[in-house]
Amino acid sequence: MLQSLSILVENRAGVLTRVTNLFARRGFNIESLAVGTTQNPAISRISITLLGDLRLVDQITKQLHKLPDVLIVRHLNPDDHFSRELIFVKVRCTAESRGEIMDIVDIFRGHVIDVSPRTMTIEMTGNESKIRAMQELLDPYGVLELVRTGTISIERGEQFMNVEIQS
Amino acid sequence: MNGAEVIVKFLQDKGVKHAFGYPGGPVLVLYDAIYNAGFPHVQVRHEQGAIHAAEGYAKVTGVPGVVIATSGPGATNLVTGIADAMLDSVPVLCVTGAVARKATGTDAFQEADITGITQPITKYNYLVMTPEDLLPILEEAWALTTEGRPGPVLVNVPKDLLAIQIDTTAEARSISSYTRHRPAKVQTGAMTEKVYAALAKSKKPLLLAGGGCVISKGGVDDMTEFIRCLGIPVATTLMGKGAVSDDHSKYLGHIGMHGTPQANTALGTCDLLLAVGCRFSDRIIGDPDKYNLDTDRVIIHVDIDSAEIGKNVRADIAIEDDAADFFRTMAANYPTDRTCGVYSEDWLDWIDSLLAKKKRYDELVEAMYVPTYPLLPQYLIHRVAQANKGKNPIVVTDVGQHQMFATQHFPVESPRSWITSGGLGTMGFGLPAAIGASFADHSRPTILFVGDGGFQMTFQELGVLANLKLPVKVFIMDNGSLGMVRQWQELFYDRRFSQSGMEGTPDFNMIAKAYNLPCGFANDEASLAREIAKSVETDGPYIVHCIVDTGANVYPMIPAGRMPNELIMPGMD
Repeated sequence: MLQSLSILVENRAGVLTRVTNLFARRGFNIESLAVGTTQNPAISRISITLLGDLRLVDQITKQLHKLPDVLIVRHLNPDDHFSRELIFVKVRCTAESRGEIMDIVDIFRGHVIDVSPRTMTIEMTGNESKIRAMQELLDPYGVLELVRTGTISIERGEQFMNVEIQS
Repeated sequence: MNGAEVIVKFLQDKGVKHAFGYPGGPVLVLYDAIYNAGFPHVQVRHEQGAIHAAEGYAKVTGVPGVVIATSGPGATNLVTGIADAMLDSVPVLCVTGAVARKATGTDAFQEADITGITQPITKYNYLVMTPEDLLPILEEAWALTTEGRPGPVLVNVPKDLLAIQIDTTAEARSISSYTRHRPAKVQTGAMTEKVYAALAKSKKPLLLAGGGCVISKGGVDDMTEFIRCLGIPVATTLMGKGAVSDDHSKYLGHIGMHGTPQANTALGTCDLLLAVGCRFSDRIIGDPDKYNLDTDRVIIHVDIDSAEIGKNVRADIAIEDDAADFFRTMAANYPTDRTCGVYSEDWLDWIDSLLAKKKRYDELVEAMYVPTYPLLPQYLIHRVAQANKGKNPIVVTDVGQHQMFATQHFPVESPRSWITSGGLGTMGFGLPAAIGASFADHSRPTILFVGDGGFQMTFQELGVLANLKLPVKVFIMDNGSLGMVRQWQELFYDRRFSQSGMEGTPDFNMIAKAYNLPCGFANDEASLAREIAKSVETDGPYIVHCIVDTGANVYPMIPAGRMPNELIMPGMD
């Protein structure tokens, strides 16, 4: 099953390599990875989704705890957090199909951000299943390019991850 | 002070008595500071020698060994030793020079990305890029080598940073300003009742003492007291050798691929396994599934490194604690109603059955202690052990058959006196590690057993021995082959001895003489007796080139992946 881990790290040189190497060394496959600074520019948040059971999550969490750069590791409860990903899709289109494609984009609350005589570029935000559903509908037109940011997640309600004021 | 002087002063402030190293371009400034400060430094012959020596030093003292190497090839020559220290939890601080900051990443002369290369084999490593960071990084690195589970840490310092003036009077700044959030550890205090309840239910318990019991301060004394309280039988791992006195009435010897029948039988058939400070390596357990699927057995795993618990083998009771703290807390909370332990009939029967096996095995071992021609390696080691009895020698091995023979036939007299490369199994470890060990304590002899193969990997370090005249007694056990490889080929590859014979082996006495080291040759009972006596009488180093039986195999042996009680031991029912 897909597991979401959020990791707060200090922005030291090479920290991303250290974290991802822990996964690679044990043969754990990362499904998705997103990294960016937090409200504090000295601290980054690494969001990782991986396929595996709880034993694997437990083991990788313990390994992460051994790295001095790692400040907090949290395994997000699947029922208690939001996950989103931003994607760009460049799809082949003709004058005839342009309208149909725009209808699909509308249904998925995406936006057309660029149009050329033979292509359309779409921006869409969603979780894994929404992205898959839209891609399936666009495939028949010819998907030329699909770019994903990787999933970021946040917990519901008053829970938060922050090193200065820990919940 | 410049960066180099900051490093030397830092090492002095930490009480570092010796650094092991080798100079070169980018560390010239550092070596200038070492020269000016009169800082004690052991010049090795190859950087691999420096790190193994530092490991030997650290294994004897528990204090981090310090290594200095130059950039590029100097640093990459450390790699094997760093991996060795990582697997055997040895505290080592490596300071390497790097090319100047403006040349970083340009493939400059003698540049190698040693921080990148060693990242997976160090506890942590650093590339210092800001002068103000140098001292705080050294502080953090030093602390990390011994914090929790010990291990190697590397600090890579660019050449220009060694030469730059650094203001050390400024307010000490920390390189880490944020709290690291870690889950509260489940320590012994909260678990004593649970452990005693499990022990009370058990009919066939076994205490397994790993390297953690030796490393932990006071671990050995506290464990002895715990065993006395409970009367639980105890076995050790290869790294745990020395944690229990060999003549202890509850000691079964060591477990693992070449462990004793009684210890391995206990491991394979116990109904409760209390494993302390060990990581269930494949050389101990064979196939982890056989433990993970057998839910009748209760496994209690105590380790300071939480990540080891549940990694290879499931733990029914997990305790994240230091070995000494575990034993002390357990002994202090021994139930007054004595619901478990020495008074239980089941335990006594279990111990009796194991001791009966031990008696039978001891008889088989005794039968090996006979002079033959060619000499049996078991006999040789036994004779050396006898000749050094009461001297509390430091026993060092290289890797291979002789290592296993030494484990089986040389009882060490105190903890931290058994120095071997366990996890990585590094041939070439022996000689430099023996030099480092002897550096740590030359009030007692250091005895090195090394094969003809392993010796040829690092024998350039004889130069250090010749210089320093340390009391290292080297027994080169020459069987004209790579014995352990040969044994596997004999048993599992239909005697196809591919590349395990070794032609062109030199006359080791001529090599010793070339270094002006006292030496001798032994190939039978009389010459062995003579050479052992000379090794004992001679102050300082002594080298003995011993010819031993090529056909001698290490038994007992558990074929890879089998359960410990399925071991092969000729003569044992």
